[in-house]
Amino acid sequence: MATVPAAAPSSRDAVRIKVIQHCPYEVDSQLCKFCVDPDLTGYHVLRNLITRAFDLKGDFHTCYLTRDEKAPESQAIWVPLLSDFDLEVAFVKASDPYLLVKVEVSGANNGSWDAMDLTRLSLPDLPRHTYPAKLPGLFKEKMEKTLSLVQKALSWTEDGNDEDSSQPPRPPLTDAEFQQMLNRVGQLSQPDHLRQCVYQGGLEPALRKVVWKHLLNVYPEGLTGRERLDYMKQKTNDYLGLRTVWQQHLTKDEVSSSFQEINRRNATERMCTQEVSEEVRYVTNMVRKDVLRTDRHHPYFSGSDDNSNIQSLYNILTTYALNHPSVGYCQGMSDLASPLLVTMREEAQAYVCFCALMARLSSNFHIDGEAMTLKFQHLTEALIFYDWDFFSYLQYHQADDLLFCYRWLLLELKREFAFEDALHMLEVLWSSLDPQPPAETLPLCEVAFNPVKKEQQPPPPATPRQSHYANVCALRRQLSSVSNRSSESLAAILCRRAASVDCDSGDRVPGGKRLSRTMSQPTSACLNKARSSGEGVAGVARIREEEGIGGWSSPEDSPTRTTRRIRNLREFQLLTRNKDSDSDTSTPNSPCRASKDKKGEDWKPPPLTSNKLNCGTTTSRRCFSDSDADVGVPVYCDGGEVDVWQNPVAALSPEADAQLQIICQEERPATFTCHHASVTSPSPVTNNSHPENNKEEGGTTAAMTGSVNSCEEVTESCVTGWQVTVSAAQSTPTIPPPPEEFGGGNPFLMFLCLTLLLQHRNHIMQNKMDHNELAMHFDKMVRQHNVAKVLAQARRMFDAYKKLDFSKGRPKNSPSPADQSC
Amino acid sequence: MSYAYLFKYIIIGDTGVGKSCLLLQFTDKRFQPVHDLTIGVEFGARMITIDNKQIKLQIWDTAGQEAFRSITRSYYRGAAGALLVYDITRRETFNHLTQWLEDARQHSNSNMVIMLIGNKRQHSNSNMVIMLIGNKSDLDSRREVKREEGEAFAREHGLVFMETSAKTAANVEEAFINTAREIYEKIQEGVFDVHNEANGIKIGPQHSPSGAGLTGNPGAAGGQGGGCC
Repeated sequence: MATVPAAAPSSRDAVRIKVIQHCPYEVDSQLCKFCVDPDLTGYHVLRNLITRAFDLKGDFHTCYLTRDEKAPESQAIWVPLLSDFDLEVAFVKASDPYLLVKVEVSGANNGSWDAMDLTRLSLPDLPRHTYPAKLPGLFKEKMEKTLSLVQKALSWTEDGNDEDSSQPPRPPLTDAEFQQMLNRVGQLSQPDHLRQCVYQGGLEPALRKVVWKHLLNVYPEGLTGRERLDYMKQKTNDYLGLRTVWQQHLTKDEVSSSFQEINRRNATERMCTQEVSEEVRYVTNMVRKDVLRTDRHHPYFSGSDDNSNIQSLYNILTTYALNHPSVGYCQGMSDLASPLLVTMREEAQAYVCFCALMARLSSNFHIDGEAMTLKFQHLTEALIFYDWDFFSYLQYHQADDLLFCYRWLLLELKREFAFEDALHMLEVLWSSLDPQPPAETLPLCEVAFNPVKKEQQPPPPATPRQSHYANVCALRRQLSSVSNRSSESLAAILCRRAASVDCDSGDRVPGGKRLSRTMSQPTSACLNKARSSGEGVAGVARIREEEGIGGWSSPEDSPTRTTRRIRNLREFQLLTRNKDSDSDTSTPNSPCRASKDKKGEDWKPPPLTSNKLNCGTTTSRRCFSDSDADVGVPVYCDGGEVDVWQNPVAALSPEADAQLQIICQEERPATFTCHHASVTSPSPVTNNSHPENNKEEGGTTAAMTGSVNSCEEVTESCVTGWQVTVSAAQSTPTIPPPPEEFGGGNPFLMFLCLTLLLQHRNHIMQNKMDHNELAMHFDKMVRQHNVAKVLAQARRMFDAYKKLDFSKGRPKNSPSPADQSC
Repeated sequence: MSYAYLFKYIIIGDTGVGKSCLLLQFTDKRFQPVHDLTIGVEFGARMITIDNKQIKLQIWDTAGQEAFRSITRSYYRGAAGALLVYDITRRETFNHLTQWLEDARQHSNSNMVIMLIGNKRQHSNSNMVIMLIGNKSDLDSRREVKREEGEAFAREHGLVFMETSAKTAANVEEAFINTAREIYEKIQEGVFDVHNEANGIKIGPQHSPSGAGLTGNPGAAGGQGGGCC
C-alpha cells in the first residue's frame, strides 16, 4: 500500500482532476472532472478513467498543465503525462486547485490548444527539463499498487467518496439520465427531479445546451419535444425580427448622420428620429465597448475584435437593452449573457435564455437599486447569523457594508470562478430555484423598440444613466454598520446579536476600556428615519427600571413587566420574547415595532467587538460590559445582571405573544460562541460565551482563531444547534428570511456568497486585513475560487437552512422584496 | 515587503478611457487590450522609490459607468491621490471631467482639515492630489481633445496633467510616480497628517513611531504584536 511520501502535498487529499479532450474543430472541448486519491491512482488507472469518461476507442496522449513557482511571470505549459512518475510529479506540482489534463486522441492536431484559457489559469511556466528530482520514491511506490486498489479507484462513483467533502453528491447528469426524465412525447415529466439532480451534480457539458433552457424557465410547462422545437423556432424568428428593427434603424441613422451636423434643427420629425438615435447610439457604443472586454480569454471570444461571436454578444445585448427600456443596458450584463452564448452557440437561443435569466435578474440593474440593497441586507443578516465574529471584524474595519461583494451579487458569482467552473456553478445555482415556467410564452421584449414613434415608448433610461446603485451605495456608505433601506429587521438583528452595553449597570470594564466606535449610529439613524416615515422601526426597547415601561403595550403581557434581571442566558432568552403586539405605532409591515420608550429613540449601536481607539490595554474585552453608550438594547453583563430588552422582531408577531421566542442553544458549538451573541436570545449562544477574544489584540488572537476553524464546522454545528432549536416549533426572528425572500428569491446565492466569505475569514482575520486589504484579497480571487469546495459547503449550509422552520421564525411581515420601500 | 509609506490612489474617469489598462501597465508593465470590464472596483499595487524611500502604491481602479458611480464614490474616502483619466479620442470623456472632479472633491477626505497646516487648494478643503490624464496618446490621428485643452483644464482646476498611452507605456510610470511625489512632498511639508488613515496614507509597519496605536490603523499594525487600533 502506498504511503504518504514526504514530498507529497501535506494531506494527500483527494486530487481534483479536470480532463479536457481536445477536439480541434470545436470551440467547446469535452470536459470531464473527477477526484482521485493520489495514493491510489497511478498512470494506468488514470488512463482507464479517461478512456471510460470520454469513451475513447483508440490510443491517446495525455499531458498536464503545470507551472514553475520560481517563474515570476504567469505562464503555463503543457507537460507530457506518460508515466506514473509524471503523474506523481503532476500531483505534487500541479494539482492545486486541480490538475488539468489534456487528452488528445492520436493523430489529432494540437495546434490551437494553447489558446485555451491559459491566462485565466495563470499557472506559471515549468520548463520540461526541471522536473524535481525528489520523487523517485513516489514513483516506486506507485508501481507497487495492487489491482484491488485500482479497482477501488475506478469505482469511486459507486462507493462515494466520504473523505472528500467537496465531492458533489452525485456525478453530473448524463444524457441517458436526462432522456429518462422525458416521457414518450418528450415532455419533461418531473422538472423538480431534474433540478434536484442538477443541483447535486451539475450537468455533463454536452447536455447544457438542452437542459439550461429548462433550468432557465424558457419553456412553458408541459411542452412536448416537438413543441419545444417549434417554440424555439418561433422565438428565433421573433428575435430576428427585434434585431432587424434596430439594425436597420442604426444603418439609416448612420447614413443620415453625415447630414446631422447640417440639418440638426431642420424638421421636428427629424428631431424625433434623432433622439431615438441618440438612445441607440448610446446603447450600441456602450455595448460595443463592453463586449470587447468580456470573457475574451475564452476561446469562443478570443482572437481579433472581428470575431463573429463578439458580434453576436453585441446583438443580444443591444436587442435586449432597446426592447427593455425600463432596464436598458448596464455593465455586467455582458458577463451574464456570455456563458449563455458560449453554451447555446447560437445567438437567438442565447437571447431567449438571456431574456429568461433577466426576468429574474433585471432588477439587479434597476436604477432604484432595491434588489441589490435587499441582497446586501440579506447577506449581512446571514453573516451576522452564521458568523458574528467575522461580521464584527468587518464592522470594526468598516468593511461591513460588504461592498466588496458587489460583483458577486450583481453577476451571481459568475466572475468568481474560472469560466468552465462558472458554468457548473450557474447550473447548480439555477437548479436550486423552483421552476417558474412562463405561463404561456416567454416575452422577448418589454416594449418593442420602435425607432420612430418615440412617444409610445416608456421613457428610455437617462443618458447617461442615473446611478441605479445609488441607493444601495449611498446607504451602505452612510450606514457603515449595516446598510439598508429597510434596515429595521437588520437593526433588530443587530440589536439582538450584537447588543450590548448596559450603561446604567455600572458594569464597566476595569481599565477604562471604552468602546468608542459607535458602529450602529447609522442604523439608529435609519431607524429613526424609518420610524418617522411610518415604516415601523426596529424598536429595541430598552427597559429601565427608572424609566418604566412606556414602550410595552402588549395587552396581555406587558406593562407590568418592566425590567428583569436575570443571571443566565437561558432565562434571558426565555424572557426575551414578544411583548408588544400593539399595532398602532408601526405598520404591519414593519418587522419590529418602535418602542415608545423615549430611550428607544436614543438607541445606539450595539457595542462592538472592537474598540477602535482604546482597545490597546486589554486582551479580553467584554464588549457588552462596556458602557459609554446610552444603549437601548439588550444588555447582558457578564455574570451579572441583564437588562431585558424587547425582542423587536418578535414583537410583531401576534401569535407569538403566547410563545416563548427562544432558542435553546445548549448544544451550541464553541465555534459559535461569540461574546456579542450572548445577548441575542435567538441566536445560537451559550451562556458562557463571554468575550474572550479580541481580534484586534495580539494577545487574543489565539482565542479568536480558535473560535472557528473551518467553515464546515460552522455549518454543521450550526445545523445541529438549529435542529435543536427548531424542534420546539419555536422559531427565532433572527434566522435568515425564508427561501422565497432570502436573497431576493435566490437563497442559494446567499449561501454561495457566505461560503466565499467564510472560507476566507480566518485568513483575513489572522492577517488582520483592513478593509482595503480584504477587498483586494477578494478581488484577487476573481476566477480563482474552488468551485467544488464552494458548492459543497454552500449546499451543506443551504440544506441545513432549508430545514429551518420559517413559519414563525420571522414576523410574517418581515421585509420582503415588496416591502422594501423606505 | 516593507515600505516607508503606503499611498492609496483611486483611478476615475468615464468607461472605456483605459483606466484598467493604465493600472495594468503600471503594475505589470504590460498592455492587455482584452482585460475584463471592471465591475465595481478592482485593485493593483506596486512598490516605487521616492527619495530613497520605499513607497507602496495601493491603487483602486473603479468602474467608469455612471451606474457604478455611487459605489465608486465610496472609495474616494481615504484616497491620497486620484488619477482622473479621459480619452483623447473621445471628446465626451473630456466633457465629463468637471463632474468627476466635483465628485472626487466632494467625496474625498474633506473632513480632515483639523490637522492641516496649510491648505493649498482653493476649490476644496481636500488635499487629495489629482492627476489629470489624457490617455491613448498613441492614437494621435483620432485625437479629439487637444493637448492644450487638457493643460488648460488642469491649470484651471489645480491639477497635474499628463498625456499617457497605456498601450505604449508612454508617461504611465511618470503619471503614477509624479502623483506619489506630490503626495510625498505634501507629507514633507506637513500638509498631510500621515497618522490619519483617512488621508490615504499609511506609515509602513517598521517606520511607525512606537505609539503605533495612534494611527488608528490596525492594518498597518500587521507586523507588530499588540499594536492594535
